[in-house]
Amino acid sequence: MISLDLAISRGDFQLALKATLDGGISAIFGPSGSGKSTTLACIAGLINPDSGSIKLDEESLFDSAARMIVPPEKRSVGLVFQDGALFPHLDVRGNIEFGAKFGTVSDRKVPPDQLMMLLDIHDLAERNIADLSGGERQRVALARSLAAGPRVLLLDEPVASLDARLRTTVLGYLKEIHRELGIPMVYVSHNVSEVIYLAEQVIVLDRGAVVAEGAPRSVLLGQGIGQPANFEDVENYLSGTLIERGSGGRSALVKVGEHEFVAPSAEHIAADDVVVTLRASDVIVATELPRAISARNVISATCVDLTESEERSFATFDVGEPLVVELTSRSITELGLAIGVSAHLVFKTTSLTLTPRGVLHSQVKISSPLPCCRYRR
Amino acid sequence: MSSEGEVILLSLRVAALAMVGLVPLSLAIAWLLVRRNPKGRWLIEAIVSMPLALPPVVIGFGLLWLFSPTGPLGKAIDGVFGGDLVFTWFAASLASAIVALPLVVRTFVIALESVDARLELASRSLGAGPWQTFAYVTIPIAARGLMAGVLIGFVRALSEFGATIVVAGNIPGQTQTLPLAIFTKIQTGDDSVAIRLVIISVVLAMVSLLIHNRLVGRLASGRSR
Repeated sequence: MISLDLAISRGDFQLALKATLDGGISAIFGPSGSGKSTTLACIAGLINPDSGSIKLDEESLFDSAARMIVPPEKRSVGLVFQDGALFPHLDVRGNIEFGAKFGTVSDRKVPPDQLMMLLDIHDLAERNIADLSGGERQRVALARSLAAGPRVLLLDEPVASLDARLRTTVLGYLKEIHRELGIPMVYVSHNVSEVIYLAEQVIVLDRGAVVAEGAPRSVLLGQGIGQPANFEDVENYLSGTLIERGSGGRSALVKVGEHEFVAPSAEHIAADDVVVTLRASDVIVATELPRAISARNVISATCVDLTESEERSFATFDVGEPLVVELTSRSITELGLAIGVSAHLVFKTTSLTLTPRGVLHSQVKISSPLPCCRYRR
Repeated sequence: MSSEGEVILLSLRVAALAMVGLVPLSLAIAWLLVRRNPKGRWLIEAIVSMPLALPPVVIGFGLLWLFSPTGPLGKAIDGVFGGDLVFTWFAASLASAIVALPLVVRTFVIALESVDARLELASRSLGAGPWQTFAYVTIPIAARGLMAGVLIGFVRALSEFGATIVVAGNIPGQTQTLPLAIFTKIQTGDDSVAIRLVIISVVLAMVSLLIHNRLVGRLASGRSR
């Protein structure tokens, strides 16, 4: 748990923020210039606020009243930069071992070799970091931070510069790392869909102040937050497993929860673990089973959440995972949609996109806490 | 040993000692300028650049005044060490170091500026302290540029004449470095020895500059990765 009470004033930029991040995966959401990255830098100790306090699990990291500042290297807080900020003079292994060498001695540490296996970068160990792709870079940065045994992992828009394929891969890894290692994460992003997929809690910043906080779906899709009308399309990221790859132009079959989705051919994807991307506005809701229809996916599901606002309305259905559907408030009224109501969701094969999902290498799955590997400081 | 050999060895020793003192000092100044961006940056830069603008003879005269047995620092040194600095090879090193200072600091500044400050922050958040970060991240990444600075400083120290002759004199076997020996041989009409020493000077300078330019070239291409 991280308790923040920050005040910073730098010329035109003002930050005055009070918030508690509960552990699990929390997100800090907001437009650029809202103070997201500054907040992360404060937690990591790279910037010191003018006044206030920062606490991590009851331990004070910064307290202006007590004139107390814990230097960044003593905080055991891992920070993953947007582009990785990898050391150019070291190879992949050197970068990861750097974290292991200087990180705090703790039982949270995962040995570098095990991390490279987990994140599927062991083949790149001797590779120069200039020769890595964007996705590989992020995985190395992630491994480097984890090797230091952090108490919390701070992620500064780690997938913003990646294309859709790599984005879902890295998002998948983050989710699995959190599940396997139980390490709390703070995820900074301005992408609604990512935050909904990943985080359990979100605080929304605007011009250096908290304007909303709570569960990502209700906060980010709900009323009056950050002008939802301006949001890009909301996308659902659903974790799925390929049942049929579909070759020669035939459709693929993906299992999502208890349902089987018909999706475009997935010949180009090597692994079975995929992320199914489905735009919230591409789903049609019907209260009676549609017959004689070209769309190949018709699944029944129960409505678990409704967020209505003047500009945009969303209904969330349980398909094994939450699936957000965008519709007008008029449709909601006419269909008599409410929480607990069952409906049929209709979407076309071509509205689904399959991309690889990063999963930790199953043969080296680990039980945390790990036996520690001790390095001299 | 031939007198030429003696001259060359003495010159190398003087320049090497100059660099031993100069490198840590220049590194500290360059780091201060690049990473701390101090308020009086313009003043520090002006003072550091002075030896470039002044005639070396003036620097020599200043050092002579400071370190002469009756000068402010000379008295103190005499009191502590019971000896004299002027007209020793230490004085020659000191003169060379001061004349080379601006070149070394400027090259170090460029080298340190080429290191992305975020890499140092990343290192800190991984658990490395400020000194460890400097040793394991900053120095290795800036290594080429720093080497170039050391080399250009060494070449400048080797060729120092004006300040050296004033504060260290021109004593064969003690303070007579390569440029001073050439000067003496020309004065005494010993042209064949003078030419041999000139050729040695040219070769030393050429080799050093070739290595320097190679390092700087790599630095420039390395930055636009």
